[in-house]
Amino acid sequence: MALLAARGLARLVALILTATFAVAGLAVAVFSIQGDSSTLSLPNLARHAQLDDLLGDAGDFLTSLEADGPTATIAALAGAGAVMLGLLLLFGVLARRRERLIVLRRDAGGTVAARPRAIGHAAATLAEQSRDVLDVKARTGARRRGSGGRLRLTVHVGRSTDRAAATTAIRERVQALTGGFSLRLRVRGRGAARRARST
Amino acid sequence: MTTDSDLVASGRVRLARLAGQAIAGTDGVTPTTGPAGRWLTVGGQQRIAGVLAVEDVHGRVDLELHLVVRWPPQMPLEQLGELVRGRLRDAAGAAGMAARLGAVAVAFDDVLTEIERA
Repeated sequence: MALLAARGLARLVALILTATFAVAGLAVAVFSIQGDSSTLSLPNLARHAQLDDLLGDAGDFLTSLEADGPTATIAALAGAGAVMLGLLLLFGVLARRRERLIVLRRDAGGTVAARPRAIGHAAATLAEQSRDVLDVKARTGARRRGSGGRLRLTVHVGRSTDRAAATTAIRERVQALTGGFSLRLRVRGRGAARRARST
Repeated sequence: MTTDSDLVASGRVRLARLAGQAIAGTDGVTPTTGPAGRWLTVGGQQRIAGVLAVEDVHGRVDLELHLVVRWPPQMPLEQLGELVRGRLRDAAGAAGMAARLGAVAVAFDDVLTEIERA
């Protein structure tokens, strides 16, 4: 859970930073078109961004930071927080997520399991054997505890195809592969023009 | 001169070898060493692909079998895994090593269709 949160935060921060830098870069590029103090010049951009005021504010802040007092304490805490945030972001970017296996059988002698990707691949290949099927997308996941997992097949069939019959045939075929283990199966028939759901 | 550690290692490797034979004798599955090539047992000048053998302090050997299913599978995956485990248990019993065989985990890591095999 912590890894998922860290990964999500890292992606969000990366998206925001990328967008910010892109906008800033675009602004600098546009304001580099002209020189001197023209409308599209860098000095004009600095005036628009109120960088002169910012320099004054930052100077006052840095002066108070050098002296002992509440500002220095807050700055130290903010620095520690920034370090922690940086570590969390690094964890989110670098930590590898272990793929959970779908356990088909578990007993005293061991387990029989399958990688979700393998189950999805097998189910999609089975569904694709039908002539009516145009495209199949399989999503699989293992249960956090115990045996089994979930399998969701999204099946695209042609407009003239009997969707109910097609999805029933696919369901039977996939269940023959998955046997008795506890997979939740959702087969969706989807035409080219409109969507229909059959679960 | 054979040391105790050699004997312990040979038992582990012998069971891994039996596992390799059980995989080879089962239609529709092949061993895989994984994307990093780490799923294998090395010993006795042999590399047994797709088998990880770990021996505990009591001399029992836990085995992890990593397999790729050849398409189409002859039976449901659960039965296929149980077939391999059963063959390994029988082979270990015939070799007088049933007592040393610990937990056997079978993992199907991928499915290989005919198009991918070509």
